[in-house]
Amino acid sequence: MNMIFAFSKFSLGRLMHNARYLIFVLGLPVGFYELYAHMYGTATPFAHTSWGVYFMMSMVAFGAVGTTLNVTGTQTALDRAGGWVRHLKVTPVPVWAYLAGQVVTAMVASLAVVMIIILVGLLSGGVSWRLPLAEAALAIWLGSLAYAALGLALAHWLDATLINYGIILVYLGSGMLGGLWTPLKYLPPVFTSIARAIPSYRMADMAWHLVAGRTLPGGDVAVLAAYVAGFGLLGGILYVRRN
Amino acid sequence: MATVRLTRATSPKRRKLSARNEGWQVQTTWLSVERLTFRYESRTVLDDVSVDVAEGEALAILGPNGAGKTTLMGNVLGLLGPAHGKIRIAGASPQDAVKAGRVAAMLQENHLPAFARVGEILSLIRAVYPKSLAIPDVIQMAGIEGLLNSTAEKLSGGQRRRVQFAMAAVANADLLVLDEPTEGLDVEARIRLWEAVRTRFKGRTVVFTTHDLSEAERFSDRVLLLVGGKVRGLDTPDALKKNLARPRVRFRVAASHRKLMGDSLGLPLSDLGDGRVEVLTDDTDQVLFALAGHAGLVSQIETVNGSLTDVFEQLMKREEDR
Repeated sequence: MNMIFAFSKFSLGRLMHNARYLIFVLGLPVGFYELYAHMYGTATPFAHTSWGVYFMMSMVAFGAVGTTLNVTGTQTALDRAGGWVRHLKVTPVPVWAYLAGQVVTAMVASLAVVMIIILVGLLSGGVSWRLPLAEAALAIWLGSLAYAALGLALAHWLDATLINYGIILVYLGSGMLGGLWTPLKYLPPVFTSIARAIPSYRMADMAWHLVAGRTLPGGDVAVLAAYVAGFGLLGGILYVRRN
Repeated sequence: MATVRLTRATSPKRRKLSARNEGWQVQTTWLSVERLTFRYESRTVLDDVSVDVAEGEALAILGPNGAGKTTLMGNVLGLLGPAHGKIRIAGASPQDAVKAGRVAAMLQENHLPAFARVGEILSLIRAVYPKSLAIPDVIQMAGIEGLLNSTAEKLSGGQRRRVQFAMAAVANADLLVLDEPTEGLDVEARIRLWEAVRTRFKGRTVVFTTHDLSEAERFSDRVLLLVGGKVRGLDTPDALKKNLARPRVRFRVAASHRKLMGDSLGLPLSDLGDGRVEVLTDDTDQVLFALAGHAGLVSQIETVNGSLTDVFEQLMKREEDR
């Protein structure tokens, strides 16, 4: 535990020194929210809540996806390419402690991004603090663990020259195909089938249900838990193959 | 458990220790490489390499590019697995020794994590080693004053290398493995690094590679010469020079008599400038005898033992002749 704590502290420090990346991770969801939530009216009723609240939850999920993917994916791939991971192998640090530290860092950064986007929603109007925002945020935040695990798998699959393309593809693909940019009811039915198979949709779906006053869908929880386990296993296999 | 062996004292340090014991002393083998063979795909990179390194000994590994020095280091550190052979560090496998914090390494590549401050990197390394030094203790030693708040990607090549040495130093491990530690360092930093190894880590086992033969000569107890993955020499620098390097005879002779002297000696003369020349020979007595016959033409005669550079050149020539 001490090793994980030491590594998490170290990785968080690194993240803070590279805070510019937060501008990019936050820029898209906040920009989209400000543009589209107000374009269609934040108070417009939508999916048993308002359009502003619904779309804010979509963007919270989108921001959490981008953050976790970037921390565990991009940073780990660059650490691998730069020789840092190799150097750790000649220290008493077990590699799992480093990887666990990356996940903890990604989750802390994800929590910060989730809270910032909700704050933006609250401050820019159309979102009431009386809504179960904390529960919805917690559901999205925990769901983003699936993308933290996916980031690790990508980092061990793609080398440093490809990782950015891979991350952007998964990031934007999860936003678009997961129904985070455009509600699925406005898209052809095939997109609904695709979205149901994508973790980003499941993350947002939990939040959409909670802010609409409905119960947490057990199916979403089960699918996301399966994704965490699956991506974790995949990451482990790729790590072993790489080494 | 580390193994114990009886060995003939060779280095000055050992001779001093062994004077009480008629030239023999008990040594603890800290690192043992036994018949190590490593293959990369179908190419044999290390071929039947064996070496024992005693506790407190400094072993320099020399060889041309591609000799297998870094591969040997990789095997010693447990980063690579040998095809055949065995490596033990204080009786344990390299992986277990590394895990126990008994080994600290400075790898050849620049491996500092981006966006991490130097102070944070050292704190992390310090936290994971059992007997680590305090950070202020290594700042002066590694010459990283003023760099603690700099992030890794903003450091110059030489500064990065110094930080890498600080990382190995702060670990304060029993075995220090340094792969070309002075590569990219200026003279002052080189002096500081070796000074630290010699004084602060006195009594620790050190294994290092270098292309600087004078460093190997000055800072190692023994030198392992590796050529084409094979051990071509393993001894003290003095013994290697004595056994493998051809001595030189230097003298002053007027330019007008050089051809005569060359013909008389039957050896090519190399110009050293300022009227001085030298000849390489396997038989200094014969050369001195021949020079004595021309006493009026030559002056300032001296014999010079071969250097480690000569040893190296000699080995490379032999390798080409094989």
